[in-house]
Amino acid sequence: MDSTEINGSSEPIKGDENVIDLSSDTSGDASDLQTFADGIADLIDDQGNADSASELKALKSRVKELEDSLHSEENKYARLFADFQNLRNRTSKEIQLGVELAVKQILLEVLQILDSFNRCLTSTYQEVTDFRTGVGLIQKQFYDALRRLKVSEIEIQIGDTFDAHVAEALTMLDTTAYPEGSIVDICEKGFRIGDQLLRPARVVVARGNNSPENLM
Amino acid sequence: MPGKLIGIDLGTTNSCACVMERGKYKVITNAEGSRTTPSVVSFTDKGEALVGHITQRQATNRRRARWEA
Repeated sequence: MDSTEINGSSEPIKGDENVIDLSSDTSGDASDLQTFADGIADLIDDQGNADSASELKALKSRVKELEDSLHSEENKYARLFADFQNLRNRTSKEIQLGVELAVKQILLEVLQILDSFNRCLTSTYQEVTDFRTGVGLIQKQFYDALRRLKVSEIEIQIGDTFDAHVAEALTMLDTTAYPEGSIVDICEKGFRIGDQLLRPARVVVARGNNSPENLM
Repeated sequence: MPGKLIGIDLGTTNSCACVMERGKYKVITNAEGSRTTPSVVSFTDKGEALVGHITQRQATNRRRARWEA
């Protein structure tokens, strides 16, 4: 569609500067659309069609309103995105700080136990039992420190059924003294921190005499 | 591309999963808090599938533990 189709003649319309080259793609250009609408409105005004002109004016107004709304939303989005980035950076730093504080808290407990070991080793003993008693007190001090750090021992005993949720099977032992799949020996104790597993207990599990060693 | 993007490394020994959030990767920890999970599965007598560390802990029990990747 070109200017000749608008005015029905081959002569260019009055006010050539308002003619839009429709051969170019203006679909994404709101300002060109407005200019085009302006041109149409003026043209129709010239031809005396007041109702269509007012409708076009209303459309122009609506376009302007939508543009303003779009700019406002874009600004809001940019501010929210910047806030989100700042929050993420701040949270990352706070997590790092929290980790450092937790490590310090644990190390302070450990250092007290180290002090006890130093005193133990620099002391003289007349009996081995005295030394054993001293080491036992350090062990108690260690368990008290673990309790303050919310660490608890996993309560399992020899004879209990092996549970992979809290224990790790180091090896299996052929025995008839205990039922198949029960704990024969506890090599290392397991611990929880709060409700979560910290370290599973390491145990030896009974394997019945008649069980095949490997079905695979 | 809409939705979340997740990448899974299903390795022969360990597996790891990672999700992209705002252009940054984040490794997903498993239920035990570990960033990697052993690539093993076992099945209980009740047919329950146990995956990862819990299967590794009973690996000596060859009747139940099955190594798979």
